[in-house]
Amino acid sequence: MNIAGVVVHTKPADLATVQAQLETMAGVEIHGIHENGRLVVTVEEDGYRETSDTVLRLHQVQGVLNASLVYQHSEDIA
Amino acid sequence: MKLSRRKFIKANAVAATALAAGISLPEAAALAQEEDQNIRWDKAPCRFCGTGCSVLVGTKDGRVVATQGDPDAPVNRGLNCIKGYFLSKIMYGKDRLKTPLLRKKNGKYDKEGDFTPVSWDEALDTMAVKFKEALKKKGPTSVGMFGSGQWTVFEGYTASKLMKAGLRTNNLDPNARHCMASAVAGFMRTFGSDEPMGCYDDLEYADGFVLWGSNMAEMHPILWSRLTDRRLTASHVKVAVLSTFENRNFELADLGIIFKPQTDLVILNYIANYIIENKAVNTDFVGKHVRFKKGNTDIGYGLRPEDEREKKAVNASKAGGSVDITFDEYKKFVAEYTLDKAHEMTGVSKEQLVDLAKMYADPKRKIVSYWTMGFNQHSRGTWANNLVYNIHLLTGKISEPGNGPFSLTGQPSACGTAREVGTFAHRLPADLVVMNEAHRDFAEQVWKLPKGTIVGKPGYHAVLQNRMLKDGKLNAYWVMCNNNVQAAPNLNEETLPGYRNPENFIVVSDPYPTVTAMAADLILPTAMWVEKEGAYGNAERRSQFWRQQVDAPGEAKTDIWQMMEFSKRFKVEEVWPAELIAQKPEYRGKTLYDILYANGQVNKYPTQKIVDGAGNEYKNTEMAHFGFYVHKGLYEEYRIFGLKGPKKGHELGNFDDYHKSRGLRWPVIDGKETLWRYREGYDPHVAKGSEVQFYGNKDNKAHIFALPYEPPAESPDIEYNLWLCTGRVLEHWHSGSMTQRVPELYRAVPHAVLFMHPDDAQERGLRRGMAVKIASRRGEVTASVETRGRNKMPRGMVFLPWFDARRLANKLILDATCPISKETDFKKCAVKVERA
Repeated sequence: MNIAGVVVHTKPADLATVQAQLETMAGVEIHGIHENGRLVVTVEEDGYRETSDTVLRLHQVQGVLNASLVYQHSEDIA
Repeated sequence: MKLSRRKFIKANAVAATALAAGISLPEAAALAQEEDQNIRWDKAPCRFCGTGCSVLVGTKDGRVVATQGDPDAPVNRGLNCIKGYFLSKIMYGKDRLKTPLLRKKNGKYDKEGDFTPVSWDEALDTMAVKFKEALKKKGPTSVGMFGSGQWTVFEGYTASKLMKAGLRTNNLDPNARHCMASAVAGFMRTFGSDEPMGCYDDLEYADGFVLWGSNMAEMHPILWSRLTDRRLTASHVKVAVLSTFENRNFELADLGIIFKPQTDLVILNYIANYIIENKAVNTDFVGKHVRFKKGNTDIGYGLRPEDEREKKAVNASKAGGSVDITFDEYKKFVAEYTLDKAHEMTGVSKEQLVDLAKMYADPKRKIVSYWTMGFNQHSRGTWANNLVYNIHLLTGKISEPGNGPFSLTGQPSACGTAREVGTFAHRLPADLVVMNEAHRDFAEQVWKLPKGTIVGKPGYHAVLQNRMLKDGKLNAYWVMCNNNVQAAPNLNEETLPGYRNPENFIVVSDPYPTVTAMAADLILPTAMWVEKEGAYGNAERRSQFWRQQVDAPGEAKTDIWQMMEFSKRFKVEEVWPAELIAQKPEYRGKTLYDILYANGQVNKYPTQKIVDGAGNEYKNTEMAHFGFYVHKGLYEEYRIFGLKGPKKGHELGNFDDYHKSRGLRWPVIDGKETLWRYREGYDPHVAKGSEVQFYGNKDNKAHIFALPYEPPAESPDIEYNLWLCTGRVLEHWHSGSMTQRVPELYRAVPHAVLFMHPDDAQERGLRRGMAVKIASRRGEVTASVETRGRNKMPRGMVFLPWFDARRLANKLILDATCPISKETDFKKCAVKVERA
């Protein structure tokens, strides 16, 4: 089980397009949005990709200025 | 209701992330309320860059399973960058070294033999024999050590004593030489004291930021996120980014400037000229706190003395020299850097040059300059540092909230260990240097050594160590906590011939089989990060401590254990001349361990229980092995240098306070940290009524230096027709010896690619993704071409990251250094690119 919590940073003007792109990414969930350009996102493995692959891909999303990891947990659970 | 484990972990992730983002999500917070009893959380600074983020490390059943940005940390406020994702995994790579390995043939050491597992006793005994042989044959200059800005404070201090006092050699240098040396030389030359005057708090006070050769977005993402926050929440704030190619920082930049390599020197002088011409000089500040000097010019490139470029350079042997001048002379000197000339030499538009100069000249705009390797890895790196200080000093924009020049660091303890402990070939702790007799006397007194133990001549610096290995003058050599075969320049012509020279015995201590380890004769498996107690010092003078969280695997041992056990194998009579021992007859028959570490100071603190505020108990492997609190003893002895040493302003706090706090910024006086040095009201060392005192210099003044543009050591020509720049990428840290162990990260950026302008590619018949050969006069590597992506190259310039051990970018690099700082210019040499 791999779960990460990430703060995604964008210009306020780009919030909507960044949100739309993140919503299409498997394993990515948006939990909250701040009008200053910050999004609260969790990332989980989706059966195809490792959590970390997706976390790395967050940086490549058009309009993302920064993706900061806040929480990371990896544990084998039966 | 009992949550499923996954839901519970996820709620924790959401709650922590929302908190860090400043968003209220009460539902998630409520779900996360229930504590996970199985996980023990404790703080530690991140293992990677010099930002110094604090991380909460979650340990379960003796293994690190989770990490979290530390919400109580003033540096990162709950955030980590992507590399933080891998902190819990870097210790668990499949090829982790667990036993010493010695090259052997027919059961005996043989330089041409195969790596064979041996016991620690055999490893250290063999090593001691080799070091003693070299000492006997050629004396202390034939032994040496290459250390690291990733060493903990305690480790660097242990090494400094072992080499400079015990073995009486100054051939100790850190890999920080490749990274920070120009910053150090610049600070010492201008201020007489190393390290920045300001701190990260400036990020929230400044009205403008200028990045000079720093890819902050990828290399210091947490500081970049703070800068981004400031820019997006205060509309008057301006961000200028200067680089030789377009990187990710340009997305946020109000002013994105691409200049021709090496011409940053021109821009810096043009700005100074603009400030003077437009009467923006803070004359009161300059009159009281500044002195003017003209530095020697035509200083060469730190190449081997037989190189034509060195023979031609008039001041190659007096590179750091200077004479006093007046303000008017300085004014005349910079007057030739006109807008027209600057535009012509740099390729930057006049409009952009004026906009940038105005940011500095406007007395109402508070401004911070940031730089990293663009300035430091520069054949005039010390000058570039001096020149940016000129601008801040002319305008008085320094040493106060929101105003100041700030040199960012690449390694977690380049400041705390390499610089503050002084593991450079010319340094001692707390800004002392081996060339100064009073400094040596003080160090010998603290270390209880006979007078004359420490040698007054600087040892071999990083680049010189490789040359001396090749020339057979440095014969017994210990590389610890770095990957210098991959990191150092010109590895085909200098490094590898040196390591494989039959006269030499090379020891490498590392957690992983790096390129450097594979080039060694003996490999020592090493504990890393939270497998030991440690302390790092970050770029803003913040010292941060951590406790040991887990055990090292197999037979892996800490650096301190390795050095102290090694020191037990030397009787003082084997390493010191009789006349030295005669001064301290009580040392007769003793080992270096007795003299350096069991000296009544380092071993002063008995074993104790290590407990955190919540009552959790922690191991301390060294304490258990040596029978005293090694870290505390080393620290308390080291601290004397800052408290009583001849250089003012290096006080550190109490050992136990650091374990309780999220770090403290020195000077720490009466338990209080210092945020802005040299300014009355912030720095207790500054006398009342004096406003500012640059007390690193005896007259309390900083020095503005007149220094010109001089060309690089090598520029593109008809055959080698492109500039090559090397550097890092977001996903991998330095040589990748840790991050490339993490499978997910390895897949994300598995190979280094060559970034190139599409027209440059087309002109050579190349397409995106095609394999190409990149060749310099020194070697060649193969990589595939990337014409898109995060770095957009201008015509005539290519970028190749150096993390990839199968594409050793530094084969291509000329070992030209800044002649003052001896730091290599990794940012510019000439290459050609053709189809592989």
